[in-house]
Amino acid sequence: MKTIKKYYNWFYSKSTILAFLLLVIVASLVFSDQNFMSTTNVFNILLKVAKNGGFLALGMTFVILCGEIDLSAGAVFALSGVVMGLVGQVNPFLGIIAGILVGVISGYMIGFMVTKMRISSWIASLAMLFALRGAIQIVAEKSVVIKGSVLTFADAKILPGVFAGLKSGISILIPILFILTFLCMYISRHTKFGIGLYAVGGNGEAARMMGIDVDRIKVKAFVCSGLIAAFSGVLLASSSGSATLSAGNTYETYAIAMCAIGGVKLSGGEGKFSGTFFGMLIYFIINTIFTYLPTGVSVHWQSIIMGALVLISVGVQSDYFKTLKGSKRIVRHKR
Amino acid sequence: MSEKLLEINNLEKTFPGVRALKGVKLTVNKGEVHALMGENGAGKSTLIKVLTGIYQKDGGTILFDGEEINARTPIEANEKGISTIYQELNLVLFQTVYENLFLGREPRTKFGNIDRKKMIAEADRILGDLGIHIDVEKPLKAYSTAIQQMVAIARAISTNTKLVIMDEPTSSLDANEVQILFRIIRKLKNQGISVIFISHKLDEIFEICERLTVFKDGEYVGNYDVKELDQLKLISLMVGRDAVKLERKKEGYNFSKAEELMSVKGVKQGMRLNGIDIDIKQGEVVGLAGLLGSGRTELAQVIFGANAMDEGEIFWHGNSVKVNSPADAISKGMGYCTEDRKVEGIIPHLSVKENLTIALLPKISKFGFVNKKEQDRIVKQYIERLKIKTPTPEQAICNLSGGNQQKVLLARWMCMNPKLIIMDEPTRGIDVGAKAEIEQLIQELSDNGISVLMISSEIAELERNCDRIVVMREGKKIGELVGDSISYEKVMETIAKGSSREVQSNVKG
Repeated sequence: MKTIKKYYNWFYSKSTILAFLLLVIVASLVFSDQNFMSTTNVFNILLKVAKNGGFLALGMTFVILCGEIDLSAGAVFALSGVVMGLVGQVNPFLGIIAGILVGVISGYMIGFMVTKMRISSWIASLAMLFALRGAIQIVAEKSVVIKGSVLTFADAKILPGVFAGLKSGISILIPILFILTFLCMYISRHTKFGIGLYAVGGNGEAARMMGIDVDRIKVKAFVCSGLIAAFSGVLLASSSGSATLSAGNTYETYAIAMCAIGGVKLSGGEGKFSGTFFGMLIYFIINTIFTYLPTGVSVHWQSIIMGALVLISVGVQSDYFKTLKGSKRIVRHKR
Repeated sequence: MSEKLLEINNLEKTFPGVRALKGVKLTVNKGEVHALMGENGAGKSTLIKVLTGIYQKDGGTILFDGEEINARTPIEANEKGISTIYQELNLVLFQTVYENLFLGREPRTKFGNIDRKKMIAEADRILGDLGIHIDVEKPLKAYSTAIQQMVAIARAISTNTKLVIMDEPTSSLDANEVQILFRIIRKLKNQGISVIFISHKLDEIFEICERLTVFKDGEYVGNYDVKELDQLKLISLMVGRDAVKLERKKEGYNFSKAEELMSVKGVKQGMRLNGIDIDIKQGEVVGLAGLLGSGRTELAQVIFGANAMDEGEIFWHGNSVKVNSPADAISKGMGYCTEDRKVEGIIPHLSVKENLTIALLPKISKFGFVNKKEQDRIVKQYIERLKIKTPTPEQAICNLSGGNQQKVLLARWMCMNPKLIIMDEPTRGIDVGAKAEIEQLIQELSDNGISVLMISSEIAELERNCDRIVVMREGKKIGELVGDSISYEKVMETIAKGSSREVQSNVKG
């Protein structure tokens, strides 16, 4: 019985990766004649992750780990690209910095509202979402064209000719995605801030009693989320050559979904960046599978399947299933 | 008068790993105010929860009004005539008084609409019967906690209630409000309704109750007429003796010349602390004794900066200091092992290593990056020194036993090289072996010149470990025992003597 439980625990802790592997195997078998696992397609999927708000899930993980939420990420994503484009017309370097600053400032403002004014992060970041979406319309009337060698830095490609089918090389967005993921993983395990995140989300009262500045950790988490969202907005605008006003619309919800699929608990204190990373991959693999399906299959099924996937991945973590598994996880009754 | 309303026999309730009720009994007569007494973990709450259908019994019989009952839900218990007033009121503060009174059972008009006129008239009548005259159309939050509680009681008795259970109803009431509550309890009594009253304030028990039943560690101790007991007798029944009498480890008192480390003067906070002074010398183990609700934990939290005080001053090494947050206290050299490990102590999903070093991180990090080598060294050192049983330092702390979790928490503060460690119930829920080890550690700390402020409900534990014991009651210091004069009996006597009623009569005399 004990060994069964051990296996179950192992299985449970690795469920995201196992789901990922399962998905890859099934997809490559089903679409074997279309070369689902070909190098080109793998890099395509990774590029999709990098371009379509996969980064936002990393930022979101910071905020969710400390028990909060950031609904403004998608709006930050859009505004940062626009600001970069506009300021970049004056000075390209300044443009990049200004774009990233958008995220830092908005993240700090949400953090301030949540910690000092004690406003729920749902409301604070929702207000920020509306405000930033409005700001985008004010600063720019239509899409901003990004040009110049500095501003289009993210359009660069590396390793030309190394991979078959990718003669011009792979987009630098892909290595950036990996580096940023590893950086987040490192921060979460090896810095005061990272461990503080888990402490604050896992048991805020205990963290306070240990002398951890709970408010500061939360502010930092929001700044991280804003910073990453802005950075990825800058990257997208830079690589695609234009900053559209509606970029990143509803991306924050996808980011939350990716975290949830990756096993990051919305109640805070539990989850890993590696989980989020696999959550991103799973999300975009499913997304890609839909492009392979015969025409006539409504793309709206994709939304339904994503919804189901999020439900399942959060559902298996619920106490309801835990008691079903007979693993006797009963909350100790207070006498 | 002595007709039995409730008769419980051989009641059993077991939770995984804990036998919470070991064949207890309870008899309540009609129209009687009956107190349930016992310290934490005695089984009072479990008994109430079984009676009201929140938990299911594992054995025994419950006879209510001559009929065997086995309520599966609180609603079922309610239908039988048992109502409960909980500490936290289950009322909707934003709704009006009358809406709260009838929530879920609103009277209807002929057309099936809610009959507001009738509700208002009825609410006025019901509350009027209890001697409460308020505007029932105002939202409940417009009124004081006491009135809110009265509404809860009114709600409870407006059905065909025969027994009202009040779980610490006075904990958030001031003296006048308590009197209002007592007036209502007497009214209920005159109507032939029985009341089960739970309170940690002994004076209240002696004022309002006729009989009481004492529990200890899930066992039935006895059933007494309040008149035949005095406070000392009652306390000794509740606290009881340790089965194994461990020897007092301390001899003499040799801190008369030691330098003072910390003192607090005139600390007041809400209704919990009423102007208390306390001082600790270097290397001294000072115990805080007193019953539940005497303000021990509140005092410790104020000292540690976890709660703000309304009035008072803290001195550290003789200098007046401000401790505004736990971070402040830690930077001065304090540590705090909290009473409830699960709520304020461990971070369940972090590893032993991280839990152990979390307060130390600022000291072993540069530019926010943790020095892993140093961290591993310290963790290894303390795991060995405290004999913490864990497969690896990477193990999540929630998988450790209670005793080992507590050792990790102690290590958390010890590795900070503190000057003062506050320990709130350091051995609660820990097996005997680990208990002895932790007590040994307390002595080691003291020998190394580290002061310990220890809070424990087990007087015997304080007796064994403390150089000095400060006795508290209702947020005040009512006595102090030093060195060899410390004994179990003396502590109990002091607690009993500090009855606020006696204090008042002394003042008059």
